[in-house]
Amino acid sequence: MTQLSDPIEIQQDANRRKTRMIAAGGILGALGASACCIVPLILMSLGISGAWIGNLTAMAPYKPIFIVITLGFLGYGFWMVYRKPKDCAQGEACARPLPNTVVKTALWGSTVVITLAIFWGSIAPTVAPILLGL
Amino acid sequence: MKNKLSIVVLVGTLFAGPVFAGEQTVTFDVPGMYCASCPFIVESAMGAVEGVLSVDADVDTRTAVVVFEDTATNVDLIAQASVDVGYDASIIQDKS
Repeated sequence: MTQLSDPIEIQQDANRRKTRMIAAGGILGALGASACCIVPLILMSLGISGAWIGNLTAMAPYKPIFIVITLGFLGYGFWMVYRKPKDCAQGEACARPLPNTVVKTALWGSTVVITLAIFWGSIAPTVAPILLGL
Repeated sequence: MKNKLSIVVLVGTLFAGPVFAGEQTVTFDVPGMYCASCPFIVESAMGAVEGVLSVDADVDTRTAVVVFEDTATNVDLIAQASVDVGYDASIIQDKS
């Protein structure tokens, strides 16, 4: 861990940490939204099964909440990563876009998962029989 | 005459079993089946029971119509298969 003394560096480091937290929130939210519907099907297709599968699907009523939370995290996350850089005065602690492959991958990955979760009602009838070999 | 009657009874007894056994259609109530993936999970679980010919689970009515060979399996085994993946199933209709 390097010692940061430059205020811009400190600001950048704080933003980087914040973005990472937001991306992690996005991933967790996307997992929560897919827990009821996508995850059990994938586990079943892998031969992993048990009565607890029903507990996962019982999370279905909370899916809209997870979707809203995730979209919030993703919106803020994308804004943090892809926003346009502001003109800043020399030495001012203004934030630049944060180039971070891990965070970007996490954000885009969560976007894919949350999109699947949102439209799962329409996707499932096509995908589920293939996954389960029905 | 008595001998003939005995033969008829004997033949009848021999074939009585297969005549009554066969395909049965049963409708199960599966109340926990309320997500998009649920009916497919139930279909997969019930369909894996030996002797089950077809399963048609419906998320709207939360029921599963199962056609099975009653010489190979029974409603309890089919319901248990559903319970094993977390969905309680109880029989609501039975038509042979």
